Parts: sequence; C-alpha cells; structure tokens
Amino acid sequence: MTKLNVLRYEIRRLISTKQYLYSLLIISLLTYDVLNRLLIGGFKGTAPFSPWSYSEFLALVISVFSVIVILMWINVFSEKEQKVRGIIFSAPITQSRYYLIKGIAIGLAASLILLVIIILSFGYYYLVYGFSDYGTFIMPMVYFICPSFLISLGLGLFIGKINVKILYLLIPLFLVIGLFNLGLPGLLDLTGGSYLFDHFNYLNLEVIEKYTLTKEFLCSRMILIVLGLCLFGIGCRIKQ
Amino acid sequence: MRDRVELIWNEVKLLFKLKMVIVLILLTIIFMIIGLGAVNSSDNYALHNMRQTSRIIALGSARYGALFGSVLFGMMTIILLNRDQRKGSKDLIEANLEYYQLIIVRIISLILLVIGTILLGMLVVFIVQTWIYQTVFELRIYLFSYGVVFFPAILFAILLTSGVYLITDNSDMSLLSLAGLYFLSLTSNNYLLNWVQTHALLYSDFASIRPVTSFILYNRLFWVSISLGVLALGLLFKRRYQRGIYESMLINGQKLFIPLAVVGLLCLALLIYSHEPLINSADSALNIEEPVINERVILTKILPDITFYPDKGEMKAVVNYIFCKELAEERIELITNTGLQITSVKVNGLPTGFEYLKGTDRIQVDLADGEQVELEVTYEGRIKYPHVSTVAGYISENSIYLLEQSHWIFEPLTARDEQVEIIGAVTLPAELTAVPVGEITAIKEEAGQKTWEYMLKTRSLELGFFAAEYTQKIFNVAGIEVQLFTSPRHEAYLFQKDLEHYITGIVEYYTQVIGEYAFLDQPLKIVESSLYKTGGHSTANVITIAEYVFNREFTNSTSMEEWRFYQDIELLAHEIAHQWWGSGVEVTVNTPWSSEGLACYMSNKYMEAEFGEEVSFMLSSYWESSVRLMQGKYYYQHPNQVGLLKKDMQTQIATEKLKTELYSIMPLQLLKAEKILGKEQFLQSLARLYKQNLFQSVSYQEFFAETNLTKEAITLD
Ligand SMILES: [Zn+2]
Repeated sequence: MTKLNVLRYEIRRLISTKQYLYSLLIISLLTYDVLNRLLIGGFKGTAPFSPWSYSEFLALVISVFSVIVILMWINVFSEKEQKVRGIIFSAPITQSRYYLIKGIAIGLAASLILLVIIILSFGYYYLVYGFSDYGTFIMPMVYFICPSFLISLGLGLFIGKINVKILYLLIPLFLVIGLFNLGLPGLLDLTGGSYLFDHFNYLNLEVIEKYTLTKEFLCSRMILIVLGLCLFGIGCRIKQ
Repeated sequence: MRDRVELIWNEVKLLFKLKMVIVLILLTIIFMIIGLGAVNSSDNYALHNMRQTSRIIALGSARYGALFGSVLFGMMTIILLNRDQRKGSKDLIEANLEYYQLIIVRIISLILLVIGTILLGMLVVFIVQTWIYQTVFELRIYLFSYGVVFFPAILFAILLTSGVYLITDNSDMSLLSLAGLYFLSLTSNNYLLNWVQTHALLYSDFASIRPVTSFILYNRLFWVSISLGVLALGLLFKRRYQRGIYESMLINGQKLFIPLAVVGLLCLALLIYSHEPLINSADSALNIEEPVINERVILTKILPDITFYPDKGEMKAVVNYIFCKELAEERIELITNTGLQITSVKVNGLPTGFEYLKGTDRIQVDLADGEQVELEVTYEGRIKYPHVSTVAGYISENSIYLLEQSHWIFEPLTARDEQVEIIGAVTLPAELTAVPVGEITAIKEEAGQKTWEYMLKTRSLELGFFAAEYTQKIFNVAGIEVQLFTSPRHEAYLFQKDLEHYITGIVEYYTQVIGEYAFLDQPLKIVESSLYKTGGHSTANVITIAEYVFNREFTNSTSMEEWRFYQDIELLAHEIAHQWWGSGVEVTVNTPWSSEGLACYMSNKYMEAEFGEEVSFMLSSYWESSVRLMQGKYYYQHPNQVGLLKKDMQTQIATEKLKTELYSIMPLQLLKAEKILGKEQFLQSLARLYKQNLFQSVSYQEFFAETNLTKEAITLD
C-alpha cells in the first residue's frame, strides 16, 4: 500500500467505529447544551455570540474533545491493535513512520469532529440570533482549539509510547482542568478555561469589546502549541 | 458465602498489586489535601480568610476528592472490566462462576478499595490538619463529608460506568458517557444533577449543617437509584458468548429479578426527581410580577403563636389576623410557604375553605361580612426554599433563621394600618436563645421548653425570627440599648478586633449625622447568622450579619486581608444604616431610589469618618466599576432581546440590573449630590428628611424637594 492509501485506510477504520459515532453524538449534544443552557445569557454579560462567549464555549467543549483524542490513542496502544499492526503492513515500515501515520489519521478524524462542532455552533448562532459574522470566531478558535488539540495529540503519543496506563490518567486531567476552575496558572491551564474565568473580572470595557488577550496568555498558548508539536515529533521517534 | 468473601479478598489483593492502583490512591489523597484550601479559592471573596476549622474546610476536601476520584475510579472500573473480558473465560472456569457474578465481585472489590483509599486519605488529612492547620479535627464532620459527599460520588462513577460498559460493550463509549455525566454535574444549577461535587460549598461554623445536608442526602438518594438502575440495565444487556444484544437480553431477562430491578429502580429515580420536597420554584421570592393587593381590607393586628421543633426541622403555627373593612364580604390572598401544610382556616371562629392559586404559593380566602374580621390560619411543616442557594429561612437543631421572605408567617396581601400591632409568642427548646423582632415582654420556661413573648408595631410587616446557642452582650450607645448575639465559638476574634468598638462608632455616627434612633424604647439587636445566607439583612429592629464577619483569621496582614476587614465593617455599617433608612423612615422604592442607596451611601460616610477618605474612596470605586460592567453588558444594551430568553434567565438579568441600580447607581448619585451641595449641607438636608418623615415614608420627589436638586442634576455622566 502507498502511504496515502494507508492513511486513507486508517482514517476510514477510525471513523467507522461505533465509538466514533458515539463521540460525535456526545459532542453534538454537548455543543447544543453549552450554547443553549450555559451561554444563552452570554459569557459574563457579553453577547452570546461574542468572541468571549465563543472562547468559553470552545474551552468547555474542548476538554471533552481532548478526552476523545486520548481515547483514540489508547486504542492505538491497546494490545489488540498492536497485534493487528503486523498484519496491515505487509511491506516493512519503520516504527516512527507507523506512528506518524497513526497520528495524522487521529488528527484528521478528530478534526472532523471539530468541524461538526463548529458547523453546529455556526448553525445555532445563525438560527437563534441571525448571526453570521463568523470571522470574529477565528481568533478564539486559534487560541482555544489549537493548544489543547495539539497537546492532547502530542502528549497522547508521547505518553502512550512510555506507558499506555499513564495515558489513562490524562482523561481525568483534561476533564478536571477543563471543567472545574482550579485557578491554574499559564501552562497548566490546558483549555484556557481558568484564564477566561479569573481574568475577565479585571478587564475594562474596551478590552472586552476588542477581544484582547494578555501577552502572558498568548505566550502560554504558543508554548503549548510548540510543546504539543515537539511531543508529537519526539513521540514518533521513541523506541518502544 | 465463604467462597465469595475469599474471592473478593483475593480480588482486593490483586488490585493492590497493580502499580496503577497505587498511583490512583496517591492522586486521590493529594486532591483531598488540596481541597482543604478550597474555601480560599471560591468565587465569593467574602468567604476567604475565614478561620479554618474542621467545619469550614472538611467539605472542600471531600469535594475535591470527589471531583478527581470519580473520574479516576470510573476509569479504573473500565480498565478492570475490559481486562475481564479478555481473560474472562479463564477466570470463569477457575472460579466456577457466572460472568455476572464475576462483575459483581469486581465491583465490590473496587468499592472496598475506595473505602480503603478514603480511610487512608482521612488519616493523612488528619495529620495535615493537626500539624499544618493546627485546628481540632472533628471526626463527625469528616465522616459525614467523606461518607455522604465523597464516597457516593465515586460509588456512582463505578456503578454508572460499569452499567454503561455492560450495555454498550465498549470502553470508549462508557468513558465518554462518564465524561458527559461529569460535565452535567459540574455545570448544572439543579442540585439534583450535581452528583459529583454536590451543590454545597461549606458548612456553617456554628449552626447545624442540616440546611445543606438535606439537599445532599436527597441528591444521593436520587443517584443511588439511578446508578443501581443503570447497573441493572447493564446486567440485562450484558453480552452472552457470541450473541448479539437482543438475544443476550432475552437470556439475561430470564432471571426475572434483573428486569424487575431495572424497572423498579428507574421508576423510583423518576419518582424521586418529580417529587422533590425541598424546593418550591414557584416561590413568591422568584416572581417578578407584582402581587395584587386588596386595598379595601386593612390589616390591623397579627397574633402569631409558633412552636418550633428544631430536631425535626419543623414548626407549628396558629396565626390570628385582625382586619378592618367595609361591611361587604371580601376575598383576600395570603402568601404562604408551600412547605407548611395548612391544617385549618377559620373566619370569625368558623371553619372555612381556601384555595391555592395555581402555580403560586398564594391562597385565597373569603372574609365574611362585618367591619372587623378575625382570620385564624393553622399550619405546620418544614420551610421550603425558593432555590437551593437562596435561603430565606430554615429550622435546624441548633439554629433557626427565618426572614420575612420565607413567609413562615403567612403574609396577607391587603392594605395595612399605619402601625400594625404584632403580639406574638415562640416556643422552642430552652438551650436556644430566641431573637424575635420588637421587644420581649415575657419569657416562660416549662419542661425544657421556653416561650418568648414579644411585641412590635410595624408599618412594613417585617417579621423575622432568629435563634441559636448565642452569647448575648448588652451595651448602651447614645441612649440605645444594643444587644449583640454571637456564637460562643467566635468570641476570640470579636474581642481581638474589638468589633464592639466599631458598632458603637457606627451607631454614634448615624445618631450624630442623621438624628436620634427611631425606636429608643426598643433594643437594637445585632445577630450573627450562618453563612448559608451570605451578607446581612435588616428586619425591623433586628440586624443579621453572616458569620464570617465574626470568624476571620488574618495571618499575613496583606492588603487583601485588610480589605476584607474593611468590607466586613462596611457590611455592619450598611445594615445598621437600614435602622435609620428602612426601619425608622420607610423609603418608597422608585428605582434607583430605595433604602439601599441611602444605606450604601451612609455606610460609606461612616467608613470615611472612621478610616479616612482613601478607604471610603476605594470602596465607592467598586460602585463605579459595577455600573460600568452593567453598562457593558449585552442584554443591558439590547433590552429587546431579553424577551427571547427563558424565564429564569430573564429574572436573573432583571435582578442583576435592579441590584446595580439600587446598590451602585443610587449611592453614586448621592455622592454627586453631596459634591454639588457640599458634604455638610447635604448631610443636613438628609437629617431634615429623616426627622420630617420619621415613622412614615419618604419618596424620591420629597428627596429632591428637600435638597433643591433635580433628577437631571444628579444623573451620572
Ligand atoms: Zn441593604
């Protein structure tokens, strides 16, 4: 099989499982619930369709999304999968290339879930508020999706290579950090939820209207993105 | 039987051999310890810097343990059951067991592991608390918190995940379901859905814990039936060897107790949910629409005779109302508390019917013809809350707290005499000190019960009642007898900070600046209330102040701590100011004009006199920021959009707006008026306004007339 064919095969295998469909179902319900129950009054008084509200929406949904990514990695490292591995690749393939393909497949399959989240939210905004200025959501997406997505992707591979059991511990980590305001600082605030919650009170109106985030926060997001990519790179090369 | 015990014991031993389990135990315990400091990171800053006794920190530890432990152990369940499935057949042959028995054994051994973890954690917490926090470890409080908050959360996680695992036969789906339920618990406002951390934040340091625990227990009852129901459902759908879901179900269903358990438990859960007994969401407190008052009927007298049963959390009431009216028959409404069942309604001594208005807490009663009518209502039961976090009243073993808004004395919606006479009696266990409104006229003791008779004349019908094991201090300030009721547990701080000095200062300041206290013949009562209702309240001649004001521990004198103290004193000054504005002179609400604006403004002036301009300026800048915050809000700028929201959301937005107008805009306007007229002259005109309208009400127009100002002049830029 060519690399592209292998990738296509891997993605198809990922998205045709019942757990993938279930993930889509759960995350869609969550999307609707967050928008319709938690953010209907807007985040901290901003409009329900403000970039701030959208950031909060993403921060909440992304914690469960990260759990889905981790679950995908757990399956890659499960014993069953490891046995299958030999059968799929008739041609000899290096280990790092194998995990690179797996990683890309997970990344793409997960992106598809993200796409569903985004389309659903856009649809919700259009139907409920007649709002369609989706351009204002681009920056929230960059700041609140990329870091935790890449961290879950990179950390999942990295830790999975070391010990699949530790991988399980990432699930409570993402859930607790993402959904419960522990007041975590900078890098530990993986989803950015604590930041939104704690620092919003000190902002003035102008900042709120312009959607300005602090430098420290942007730095921490950059570091998380780079860290996620590095972990992924290193993870591919670690010998099992 | 013995075989099974041995089997479970072997399982537990096997669990302890797993490295993962050791990590899990350690992590859970770490979170239990982090949780001890949870109070100081809560959203309500007033709760920070409280003296950290067991009662204040125990629940935080249990909550944090539950938050982390529930996901960890839920995950562990999946890992174990998943392993079973692979090695299952082998174990089954060895143990000579059916698969479902093996599942039960696994679950029981996991639960034993949880209990072990909690006990070990409790030991560590005990060491941390005695060595680092250096306070007494109250075992009872911890046993309750860990036993009813922490342990059940993990138990539910284990039962729910294994149930879903058996239904779906897929570990990812089970973990995602757990994540979904976890999300629901952490974000829901409905206390019944908070299965992980529960709604409660902390217990009172001196009052009974029952006002929160009754909700926790009911929540637990609900989730016990749900999680067992889901587990039973799992056992029903558990896959048989090489068979599909439907066929498996048919085979499993032959053991009749399984489908019966499914139906029974899930129906029970539904029943528990739909018959929630503690909350009445149709409470008048949450209703924005103004009630209709029958102006043709005038209330002249109320004779309430109440007996409390604190151990049961109940009360019994016989209340007589005397009305004056024209000769004709009239229909009136009374606001009740739906937790109190009416046992009889009599008009002029004759039993009569009554009717609840649908979807409300109000009843309608017909008053017979005649110019004076006596209405007697008898009722008993427990007070219901409007919302789990809105406490208007509760009755518990060692603390009773009843604001007029709880309607523990039903409120007739009629016109009122200039001064309605209240002649009442309360009976309760002798060890509790009762603090009724007005003045106490007699105390009788009989068989361990004390009856406190009291009397009051009131325009506003503010009938609160408070009781607890208080120590009472009496001191005189400017001709006023001040009675201070505080918990004996908080005496040290009271003494250390000399709060008496500030109370004296506040009363003297108002007397000097505004005028003589209106009720010199009555004592001014200041009562420490539990933190189940934060902030303070002023009811007739009684002021309640939440316990944290009397129970601080300032360790490193940072500016934050200093600030906390100023805000405490400001709260005292605010509530005492209501004795002048609110009780002495009723302030007719005409938003933003109300007694709140004047109380905020006056307490700020006191802070200026006591601590200097810098402090009062900082405190008033809080008003400005909250006004700016409100003006920036989307629904404030787009009021036409509010109509599209759900009703509770609309109420919330309207309340927030009203609060800002009363508590921030009005005091700022008064500051502006002060700037225009000069401080001395402005305070003098307020003093004249007070004197002229004593025992009456004062309107916004009268304020403008007195100060020679206009609405436009004091409107904020
Ligand atoms: Zn007030």
